[in-house]
Amino acid sequence: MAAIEFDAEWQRSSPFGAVFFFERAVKGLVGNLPQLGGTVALLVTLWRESPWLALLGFVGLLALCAAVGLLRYWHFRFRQDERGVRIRQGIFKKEHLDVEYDRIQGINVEQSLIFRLLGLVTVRFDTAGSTKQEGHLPAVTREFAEALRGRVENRARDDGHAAAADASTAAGAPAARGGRVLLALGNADMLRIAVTDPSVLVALVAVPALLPPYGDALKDLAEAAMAQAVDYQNLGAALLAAVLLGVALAGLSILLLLAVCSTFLRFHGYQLRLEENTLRSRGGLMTRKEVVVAAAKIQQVTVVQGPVLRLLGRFRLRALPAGSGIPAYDMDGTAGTQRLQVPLLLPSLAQELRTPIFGDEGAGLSLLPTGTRFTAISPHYIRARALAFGVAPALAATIAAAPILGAGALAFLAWAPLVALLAWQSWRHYGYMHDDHGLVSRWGFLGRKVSVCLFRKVQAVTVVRSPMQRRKGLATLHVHLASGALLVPFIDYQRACELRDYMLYKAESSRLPWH
Amino acid sequence: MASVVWGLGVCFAAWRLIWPVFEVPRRGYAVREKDIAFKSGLLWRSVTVVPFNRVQHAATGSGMLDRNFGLATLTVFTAGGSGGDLHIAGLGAERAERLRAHVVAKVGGTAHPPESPDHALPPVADEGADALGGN
Repeated sequence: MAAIEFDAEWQRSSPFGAVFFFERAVKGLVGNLPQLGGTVALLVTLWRESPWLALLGFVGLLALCAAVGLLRYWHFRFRQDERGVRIRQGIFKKEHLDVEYDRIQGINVEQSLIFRLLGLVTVRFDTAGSTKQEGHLPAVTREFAEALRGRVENRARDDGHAAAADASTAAGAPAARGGRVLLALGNADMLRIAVTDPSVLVALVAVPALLPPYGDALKDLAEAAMAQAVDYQNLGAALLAAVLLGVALAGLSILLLLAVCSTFLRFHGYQLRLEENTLRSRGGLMTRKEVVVAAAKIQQVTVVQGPVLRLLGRFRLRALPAGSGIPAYDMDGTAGTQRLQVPLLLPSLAQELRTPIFGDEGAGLSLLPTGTRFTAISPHYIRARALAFGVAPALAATIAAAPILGAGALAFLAWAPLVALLAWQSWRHYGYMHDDHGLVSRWGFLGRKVSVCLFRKVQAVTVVRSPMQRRKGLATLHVHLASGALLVPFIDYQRACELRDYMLYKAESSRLPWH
Repeated sequence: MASVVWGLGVCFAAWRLIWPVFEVPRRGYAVREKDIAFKSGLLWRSVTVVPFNRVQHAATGSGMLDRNFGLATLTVFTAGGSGGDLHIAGLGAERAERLRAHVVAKVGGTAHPPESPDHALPPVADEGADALGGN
């Protein structure tokens, strides 16, 4: 790794950095549209009065963004020294941001289309602490980013991460220094990702559910269109059904097309590489996003298999470093630690990834929700859910509606068995598994998800007992990690306490750094 | 309609006044050699334990009413969101400050504790388990 010369002077990024700040200003403006309702209303009114004036207003707003972008660029300076990267920014409110190498969880690189043509990248630091103070270095060269990454890695090694790094590579497949490609997704995979995208499923349910209020308007529209094309009144029932089916299919196709487009935008040319002890994912059509996470810094791994993924025999994986559970507060939404995402993988790769991520630890854990060694949670879970969300609301609704509906109010009671059935379905998927080093928790309703963590990375543990759980000798275990929480509900109280105490022992006695 | 709203308001106020009488005595904290624990809850009883070597920082704070009664709240922060943070309210101001200093000292002192054998499972029902078993 080439040594980095420390900068004696504050330096600006490339003048193209102004493009980055301009983009941020525009995104900030768009993100704040609800608050800028007055301005938008003014523009709309102007549009009706005089389109030219409105266009002028629009151009004015863009010019404002450009001015803000330029000023931000002008006031943005950074410098590297032996402890970290120092950033000075802000037009009116001066911000001093010192990102120390020790605190950096990962260095992620983003390349928008313009930057790709110019061979520049934007560097983002992931730090374990607050997400509000995230550092960006816009428009620097790729070599600079790589050198910075090397410096952070070297620093981490000096600080004793070496043990963790060695543990994760020694047992792993021989990784060449240049790294090896674990996964490359082609065009067929893009289609698979699109059809298994959970948002498509949500849209499929939500769109028909949202349509009825507009039913009349749609009918009028359809009738008007039909009246022009054919004699609507003489249309046969079969033909009408065919037309409706056609419309439904067209809607579905549009949804799928949108999903495919969004998948291509996010994951085109996706590659997952293993380089020494870091995982690096890269993909995207316009903006190419690169996420690099050191294996030792991963707090939690989540593997999901929805109903469609199950048909395809594939999984989706996310590796969460510290801080990734915290929602991003930055107004352009780019802050917040990046999760390493593998949108589609075969079970063999999911199992293979366990070694680079967890090393020797967690050899007895399964990263797949399909594993057979999960311990089921207590069936009292079904009873508790059915009572709380089924019987109690059903009784309340029946009693409340009885004076109005009379005996008809009894129909509300049908809600209780329905909830019990849904609770049974969730209960089937709940389960947990652990070995001496880590814990796997499984849950899900239609699909199944697992979350895997190592005991030594645990931040805090909570054991909660409801009145019913106390009667039945049960408890719910919450395992708090720097990336979020793991939940194991309705397990034996003694078992929960044993697990908690063992986790605490591991966290308190481990000499390996947790991040 | 107005009477229903008033009724609900009075019920809520009464609940807010009476609930702490039963709930607060169930709260408690324990400072152990390597971690700090806090229990709370009357119906849903929870015990949260935070190891000292996972504490990011600790803070004390007191509102106007708290100051009037000489009370303070100790908050122990862990990494990655609020789920694992401890909020111990209603401590005496001096005790909260002492506790905060103790936690901060422990955080500094336990950065690299001596390693215990990783392969051996520890005794499960140690004194800690007894101390935390009351929920």
